[in-house]
Amino acid sequence: MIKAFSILQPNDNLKFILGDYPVINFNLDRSFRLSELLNEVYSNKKSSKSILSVKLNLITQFYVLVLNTLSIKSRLGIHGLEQSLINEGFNIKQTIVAYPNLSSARFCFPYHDYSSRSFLFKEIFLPRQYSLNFFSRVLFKVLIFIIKINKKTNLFYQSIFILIEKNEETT
Amino acid sequence: MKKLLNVINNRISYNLDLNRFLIVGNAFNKRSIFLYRSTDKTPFLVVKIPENKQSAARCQAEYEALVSLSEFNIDGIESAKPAGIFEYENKLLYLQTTVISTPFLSIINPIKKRFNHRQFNLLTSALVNIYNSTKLKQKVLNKSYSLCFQHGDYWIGNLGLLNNNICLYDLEFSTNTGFPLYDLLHMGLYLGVVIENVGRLGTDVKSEKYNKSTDTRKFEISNALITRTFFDNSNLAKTMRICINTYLSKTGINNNDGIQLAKSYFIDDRQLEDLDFNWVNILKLSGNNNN
Repeated sequence: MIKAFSILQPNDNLKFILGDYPVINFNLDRSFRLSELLNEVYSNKKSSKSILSVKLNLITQFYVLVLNTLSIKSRLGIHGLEQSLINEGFNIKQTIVAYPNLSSARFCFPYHDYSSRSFLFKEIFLPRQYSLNFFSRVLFKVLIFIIKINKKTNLFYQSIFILIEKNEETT
Repeated sequence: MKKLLNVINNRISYNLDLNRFLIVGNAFNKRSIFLYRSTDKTPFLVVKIPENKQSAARCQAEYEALVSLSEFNIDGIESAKPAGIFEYENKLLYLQTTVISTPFLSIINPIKKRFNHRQFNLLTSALVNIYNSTKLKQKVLNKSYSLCFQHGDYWIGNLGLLNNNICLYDLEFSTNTGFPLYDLLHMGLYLGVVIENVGRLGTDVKSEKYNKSTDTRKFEISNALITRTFFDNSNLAKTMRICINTYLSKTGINNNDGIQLAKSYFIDDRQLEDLDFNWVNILKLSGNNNN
């Protein structure tokens, strides 16, 4: 399990937005264990801040959606993860969504910034969909449709960076 | 980055919402930050931040082009307005306003390859207006044309439509002493490239599995591509030849000079060698133009 965690070299945009801090890379899926993540965070002695580079998969997000609908709390969503970290005494400084993926974060915007997401999809991605193959284009159109009917959905976010800081009491 | 956003907000007189931003980069070592005013749903300002000397030169060229375009005030042409240059931590930041339009990549459908002449007429008329409003007083020696403003990357990805006006974006390759007709040829050529690349990307582009070396998109210009775009009987080639003829007649450039300009665009500007075309056919409106 611990193999899922690895310190990444932060890419340029990440460094630019969140600063030059150690990056902890992990998948937020059903094999995720908070204690292992915390061990990684505590092992960072260089700085009180760390960047969590979180990869989410679609199936887990649907699972979280179902749990949320049933009012069952889950640590597997971004909100659940943030809440768990706050409970452990961390400050969430900033949460950033990256596209197309974690290792090539060419497009970044804040997690709750729906204006930027809308601008990115409508003005940058949508006109360039010609280069996508049939399957990807259909998938993209479904995504656009979901965003249109629910402007605040973040179901399809798969690459998130979270800047966290240890509280003084925690350190 | 918060510090940078605060500095920008303090320098300009608009009330920016610092909780919203979109970063687009790092193409050609240049990063763009789209910023919002508190009341707006779409970005109001773009800050371009070059990371090296080459990208700084491009940002500078684009900024100067925006200044020139504001001064020329060309009929039917829209572009961002320059909003200032300032230094931050030994780097120059280039600010410009945003213009939100309908991207031409959505208007001209490269997937269906059905081209509406009205759209091409608009794009050609815009270039005619640019030539007529920006041409130098003195003609090039022994030629029927003058040097003029040239966008330098006039392809449908850098163009938008707003109230029947053409919006120009990404002006970093532009010049006030460019050649007429080059932009129109560039538009056709890179529409050909877009059509070549339809449907070539899969979902891997979004995953970590994406590998640039296995990307099947083609960007190189070949004899076959030029033939398909300008010389054969395809819908695109016929449309492009109509546009070239319209451009030459409306700008008063004679056909011989038009043919020479076409040849020099491909050979000198695009630096393509081993081209074997009967260049006269680039103006031929009917019949089979295959070489």
